[in-house]
Amino acid sequence: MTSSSSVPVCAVLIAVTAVCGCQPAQYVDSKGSNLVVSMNQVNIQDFEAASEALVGGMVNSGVLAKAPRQPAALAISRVVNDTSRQFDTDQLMKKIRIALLQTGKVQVTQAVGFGGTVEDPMAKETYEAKRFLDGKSQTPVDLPDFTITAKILENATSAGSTKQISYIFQMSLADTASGRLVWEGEKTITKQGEKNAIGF
Amino acid sequence: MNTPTRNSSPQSLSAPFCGTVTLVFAICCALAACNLTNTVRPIRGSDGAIASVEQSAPNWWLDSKATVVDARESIVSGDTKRVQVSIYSSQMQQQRFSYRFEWYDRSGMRVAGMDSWKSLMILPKQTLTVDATAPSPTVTNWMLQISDTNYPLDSTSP
Repeated sequence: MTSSSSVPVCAVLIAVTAVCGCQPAQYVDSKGSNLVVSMNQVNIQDFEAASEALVGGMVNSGVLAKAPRQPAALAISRVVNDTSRQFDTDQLMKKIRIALLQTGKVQVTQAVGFGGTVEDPMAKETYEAKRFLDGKSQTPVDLPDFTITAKILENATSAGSTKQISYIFQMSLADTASGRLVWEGEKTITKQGEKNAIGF
Repeated sequence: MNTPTRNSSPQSLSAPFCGTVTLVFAICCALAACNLTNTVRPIRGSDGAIASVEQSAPNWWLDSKATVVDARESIVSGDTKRVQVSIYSSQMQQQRFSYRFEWYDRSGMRVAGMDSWKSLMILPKQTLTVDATAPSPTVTNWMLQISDTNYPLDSTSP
């Protein structure tokens, strides 16, 4: 090969090597599209997409705006992770609470909690102390107008070397005045491939 | 008299080299263009309703597979904006793209929330609808960003 023809070939090889080279650690946008996509676990973008879809559906239904008092008091009931991976369900529920609070339609009560426990025990104790000092101990506590339950399910299958996994996020909103479920939403996120990847 | 050879003549050397460099440069430019994000903003009439949409599409390839054809708004839960945008692909093959909404209040300040990137698959000649609900009643305006995904050699996108 002559030197004249090897020059452009080398230039192309150098350019390709530079583009395809090892990638050093870097910060990425947690809400961006260049995140790792895993075939065996729920990724942060999955929680993000599920919470946005569920909150959007709840707001679109208008059920929160029909509550007799505004903003309505909300409490989080049972949340079940029924997937093969163990993770803190607050990765989903906290996003949902943040988004719901931002709508201005609800506030999360700390007067009562699922199983008798609340997220902020000091808020509950202070609330009860103030009620006592105000002589309101005999009046009903700030009971929630709505309660939320949620469940995360997993469905995995494969064809040849291609794997497919679906995570199903289900959520129900109950009106405590009637004891009825007044809204239900479901968001399914399906991923397909042979191995984990970066970007979606 | 010496006959100029390919190796010895600067002019004969530069012709194929420049051609290759130009080709590499053109490929790099094309790949770089794949990284550009298209944006869509509503143009409002005097009554505040959407009259049309303004599209900024520096990424022509992306525009060919995700062109916004119209946009609609409604109010849900009494005071919260909901947006639906129809997106058309003129491509003859199934394509993917990513999109997200950005939300703004009356002062033009960005309102965070409900703004993550989402990936969508679009079929040939399909028109699909993307739907989003504003994160807060303070939202009065929005912008849709559309980005290419899985473009060659680089997976980094906004």
